[in-house]
Amino acid sequence: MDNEKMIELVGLTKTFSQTTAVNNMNLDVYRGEFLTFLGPSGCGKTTTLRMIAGFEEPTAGQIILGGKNCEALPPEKRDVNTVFQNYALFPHLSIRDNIAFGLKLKKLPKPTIRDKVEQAICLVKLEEHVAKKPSQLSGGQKQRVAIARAIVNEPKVLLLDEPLGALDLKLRKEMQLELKHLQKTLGITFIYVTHDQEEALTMSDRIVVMNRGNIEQVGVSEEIYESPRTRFVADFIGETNLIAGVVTIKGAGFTQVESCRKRYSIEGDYPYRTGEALTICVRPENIHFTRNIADVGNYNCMEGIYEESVYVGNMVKHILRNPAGETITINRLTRKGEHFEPGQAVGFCWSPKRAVLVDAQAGPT
Amino acid sequence: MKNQSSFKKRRLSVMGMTIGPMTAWTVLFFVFPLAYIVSLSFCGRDAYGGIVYAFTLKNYQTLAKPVYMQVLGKTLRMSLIVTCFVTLIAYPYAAIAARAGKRVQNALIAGIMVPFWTNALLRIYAIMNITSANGLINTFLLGLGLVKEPLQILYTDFAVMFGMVYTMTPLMVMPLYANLQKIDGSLLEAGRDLGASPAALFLKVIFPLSIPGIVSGVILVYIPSMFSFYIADALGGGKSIIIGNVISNQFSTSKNWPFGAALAVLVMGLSTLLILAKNLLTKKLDY
Repeated sequence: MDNEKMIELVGLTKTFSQTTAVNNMNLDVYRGEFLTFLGPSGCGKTTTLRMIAGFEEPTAGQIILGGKNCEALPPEKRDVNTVFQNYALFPHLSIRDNIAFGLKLKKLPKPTIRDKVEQAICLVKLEEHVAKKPSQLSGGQKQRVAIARAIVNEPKVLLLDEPLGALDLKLRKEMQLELKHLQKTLGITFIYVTHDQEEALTMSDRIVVMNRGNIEQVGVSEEIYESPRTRFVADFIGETNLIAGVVTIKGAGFTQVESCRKRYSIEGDYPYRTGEALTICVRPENIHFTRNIADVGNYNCMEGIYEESVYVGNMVKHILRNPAGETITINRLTRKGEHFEPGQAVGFCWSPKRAVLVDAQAGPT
Repeated sequence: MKNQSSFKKRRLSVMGMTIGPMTAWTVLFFVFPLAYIVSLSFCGRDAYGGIVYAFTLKNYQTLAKPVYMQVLGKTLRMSLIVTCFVTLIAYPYAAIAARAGKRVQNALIAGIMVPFWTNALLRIYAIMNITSANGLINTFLLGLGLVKEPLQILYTDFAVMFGMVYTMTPLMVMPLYANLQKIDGSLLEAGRDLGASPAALFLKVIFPLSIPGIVSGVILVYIPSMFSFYIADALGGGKSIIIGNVISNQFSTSKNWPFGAALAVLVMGLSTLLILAKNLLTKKLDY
């Protein structure tokens, strides 16, 4: 990944009769990067991808591909290729002919086509299936064909629209890693669309979290997970505890927040003003139990009523309710052997370093 | 043991109730007439048109005569031309209907189905009216002074083929429409995405995928074209004779049922071959 811009989206907007699918989107995609659009269904991620591919015309804004504005270019003239969600393999063509489809249209010399197709087939490990028709392949194999058919054209950017959505969990996990390795080997820029946050965290160099046509946050996986900038991102990515509060002191390098009539200190500089309502967000794995609430050093402590525990193998999920009635989930390793009775008052605490502050609303409405 | 036999009996009665009526219907109205026609084709005929129930191959020897073979050849040729024109008209129509919006789609399908449900003879008489010497077309052309004498349109091969194309077009549109509509839109997007211009997309994706629809349509049009007689009767006026007319004549004016039956068996044999060929082809195209 270097600093050369492969795609620039400038004020990109798409409106369908009444609804705004994509709202004034500005984004740079760099050469060789694995970028993921992540968001719930209807957030505009697929629409954005389809605009880049040329299947949808933007209502406003520009798409600059490799330095050139491609507004007037039909999909067949754009130097991008798409891997479709339902594979969209040509049922009347063999696997080899499916993969060769794009190269044949480019009128390349026959030996060149043959070599490139062979290479692509090896890359996705489909050597035994080249003569078969798509209907004779399994879902995972079809997916590989779809990928081979796209990358064989050596596009500037490969667009992938939830390509693993139809596969079972185990195969999906395998394919995630395979795709990631493939992307690193080929050095092609990938733009990947998914609603699966775990998939996004596993594969991406950068993640663009989208909600209702807007970009909520752009960042590397760790940033998105560790320091979500909005309540929507905190809530959508992984599990999290959201505790409502009000800013009482805005100090240097820390912010003090009042919640449930107690004060909590959170490290970091935030743009929130004193008196502003916001949300403290703590991941379930960053909370510990404590016997003595009075003696935990600089940790932030709270007391809750224990509700239930859920055994999930290596971990136990402890579910509590805090004085404000918010559900608190605490993930602890099973081997710690912590056990509580429903209805019991339990103290818990977290480090000021291990919490972030986000806005009070659940995303823009 | 007793249980089992009563179970068998019950199963038989259930079978009788369910598939019984259908079997009876098929035997009565399909197997029996077919067997009758085939056996009739091996019978003789007396001087007054009566049937002589004695085995003979005379009918088949007669139909091998050049005069009948010529009519058969002309029929096959005309049916082929009709099928070609029907395909040329029906394909774009079906393609537009398949990709159009809901309202245009309904209008286009109604446009083809409503005439199809109207009595065929009525429509043929309408064509006669329009094309006759003092019909709509000639009145118009004479009125404009474009021709001095009325054009001979009615009672020509052209009129017969026109009538057949007109009648058969819906039979091609429907299977093609069903086929084209079934083509997944994402395949078309994939084609464009991989660099296909609209023309290349048609040649490399849409057309190959629509071949099963064309084949079904060809069968649905070609076979009725071979058998049709009322269109040639009405629009050909006895001047344009195809095999359907000959067969219908044997059963009416000529009163030679056995020979008519032999001709019918011949045409049936040809259509059976066509259907077998179609099945072979569709099996090969099955993906």
